[in-house]
Amino acid sequence: MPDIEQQNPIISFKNVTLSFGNKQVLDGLTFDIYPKEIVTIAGPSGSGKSTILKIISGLLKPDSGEVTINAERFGMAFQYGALFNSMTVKENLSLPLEETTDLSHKEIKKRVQESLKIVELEHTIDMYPSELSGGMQKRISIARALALHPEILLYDEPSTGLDPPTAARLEEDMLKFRDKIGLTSIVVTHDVETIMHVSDRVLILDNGHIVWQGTNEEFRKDESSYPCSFRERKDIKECNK
Amino acid sequence: MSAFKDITMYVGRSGLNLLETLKYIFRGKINIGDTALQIVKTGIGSLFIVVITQGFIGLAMSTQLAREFEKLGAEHFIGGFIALATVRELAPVISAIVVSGRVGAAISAEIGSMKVSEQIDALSVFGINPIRYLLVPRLLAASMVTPLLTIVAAFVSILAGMLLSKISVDVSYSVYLSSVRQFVMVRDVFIMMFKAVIFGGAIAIIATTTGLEVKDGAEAVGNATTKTVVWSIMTIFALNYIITSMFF
Repeated sequence: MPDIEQQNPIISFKNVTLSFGNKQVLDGLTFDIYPKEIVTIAGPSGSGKSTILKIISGLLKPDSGEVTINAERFGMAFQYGALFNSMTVKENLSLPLEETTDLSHKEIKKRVQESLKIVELEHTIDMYPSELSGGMQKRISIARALALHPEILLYDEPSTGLDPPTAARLEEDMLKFRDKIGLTSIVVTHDVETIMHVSDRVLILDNGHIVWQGTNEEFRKDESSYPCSFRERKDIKECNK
Repeated sequence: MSAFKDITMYVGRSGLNLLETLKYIFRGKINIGDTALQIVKTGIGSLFIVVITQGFIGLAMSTQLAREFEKLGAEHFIGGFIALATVRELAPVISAIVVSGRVGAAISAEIGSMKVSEQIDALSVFGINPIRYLLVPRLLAASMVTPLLTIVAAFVSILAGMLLSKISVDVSYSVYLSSVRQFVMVRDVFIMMFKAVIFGGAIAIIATTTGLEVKDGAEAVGNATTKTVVWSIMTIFALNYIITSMFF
């Protein structure tokens, strides 16, 4: 885990609020994320987890509060891959590079090959998304994000719908990206296995604000209601007993 | 009141999408390859249907007019009447309706599916503007292909009328074509093309706006395609009236 005390945050949320109609999704959300750490954001369905990723990636704007992102490039691995169905894997990875960078065709080809090598799916280069398994689609989605050489990678429910070995493999990849290329990762999940496997820090969100935060070790040991309910898969009321 | 508000918002969003698309087109931010692909998809898919529908319309018109004009002894005007109705109204309107059903629905379903599966979000996250990437090539393709289909439609309809007029009331080809030339002016053909350009663009805007509004689920994608066809047809008829009243 990186020494966060010595660093400036790469992402900072200060009193961020967001409503959809009458529903308050984020309510005065405040947290910092530091370079090269993997932070998981956990919480029950509808607690606003994915909304945070959408704000960071610019898909949504908060109603109030301040969001500071000290990075120029970020990528996102979507829950179901979000690969472009009509394109091959190679075209999926090339498109963002062709549209948003000045790289030559040769450099783009090299980046595509490098990114596929990182997720060990070089053999899928000419395949279409429909020919890939769910796990492979998620890893190609990560490769597409990595091809942009991001400083921050956002993962939306990375282990959802995957068999345990594939999920574990994906989680190993996340740790590898942190250790080998110094990537900052934000992982939105409610999978306790993923939380305990990859997290440097854990934020638990409920009703639009953070109700608990701590290190992975603290998450494993804290007997207070929120980490307990997640870890032990119990209702919060049972953990309070 | 709520329905009125929804319609107003929808028209407003379509207008904003049109303005943004035109901005990219005038700045030259056009993906030539994708535009060419859309032209092929739009044209090839619609050509057969346009030929069939317009051929039968030509035959039906000729059947009606031949009998009535024969009673009046004015068979030699059949060609002109068929051509005038075809060029001024039927060819652009019918071709646009075919494009809205065949192409508009497909655009809406494609973009709606992309929205549901977060592909539109992926474009935005990677810094690719969905309007520039999706709407610009589709608008250009529809605006270029619809006039071409309309020319084919007019040609087929007039030809079908010519063949049936010969068979049913024995109007010679030369008399029929002479009547066509007498009634149809070059100006009529230009207005026909103008109508087709506007109709094609309107269909692309409506289809894309509706597709981008899909929230989630297969049912929503289905509803979007229906909405696209319904709105496109209503818009085509409304625009047709406006353009007709402007020029005639």
